[in-house]
Amino acid sequence: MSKRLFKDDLTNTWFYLGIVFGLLSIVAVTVFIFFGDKLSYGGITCAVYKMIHIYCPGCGGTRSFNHMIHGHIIQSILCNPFVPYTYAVYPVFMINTILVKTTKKLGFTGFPVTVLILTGVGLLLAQWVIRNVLLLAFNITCL
Amino acid sequence: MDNNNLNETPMQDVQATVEQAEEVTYKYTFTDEDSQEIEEIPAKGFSIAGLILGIASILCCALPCLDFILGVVGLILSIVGRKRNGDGLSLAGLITSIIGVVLAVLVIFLVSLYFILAIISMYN
Repeated sequence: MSKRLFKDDLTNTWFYLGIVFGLLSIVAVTVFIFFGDKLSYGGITCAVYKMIHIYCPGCGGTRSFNHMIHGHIIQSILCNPFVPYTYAVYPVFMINTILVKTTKKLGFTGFPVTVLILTGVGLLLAQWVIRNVLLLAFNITCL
Repeated sequence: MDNNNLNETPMQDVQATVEQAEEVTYKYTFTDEDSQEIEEIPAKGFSIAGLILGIASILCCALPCLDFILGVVGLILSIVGRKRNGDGLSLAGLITSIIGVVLAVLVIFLVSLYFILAIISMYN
């Protein structure tokens, strides 16, 4: 029986999904470099915000991505922290996995990728709740 | 001295050796831990797919129809994953899918209501 390379059983699955995500990100970055402002401020408006006047969990995602690829990290975090979080964790995980797979000595075999993904989901839901509380109770908006 | 007696192996010994070899082969090819692992792999696949579709559904709230489809598929996969292997991934998938579906249903309901009221007011 072959010895396990990673402590997290799902590392390989997340790695292959990460390759797909990386390819999609390259396309998205290319599009946003040329049409970022048009897509962020003149594109599709959120149907939830338009109809119910509360933010959905994805609200600010496009603006956050646009700010991030232009290097405005703080604005990106304020728009939607899930996007910069994803792009902070993603390269660390991919480089670590490639290092472990290729060298088998370098890199951290116990990288908690599943925990970090669940943390990301928690962050996405938490920022949604906080954003709506700020909007409804105090009329404060970061978008 | 009879050489034939020396070369002959008793039948019981042969059977015991075969049984021992089978046991060793089974032990090194398929343990109980492996069978549990094999059962968990498809369940984790359902959970991962459910989670990804759940996240996609709440990120696609701008498009309620797409949001609804992604949410419903994510919900089904998360439920299947949770029944087979109740881990954190399937729970997260379940939560995100439910939020996605609820938001989609709410928006679709309000849009439909808006159109119905507009049509009624048009005829009145």
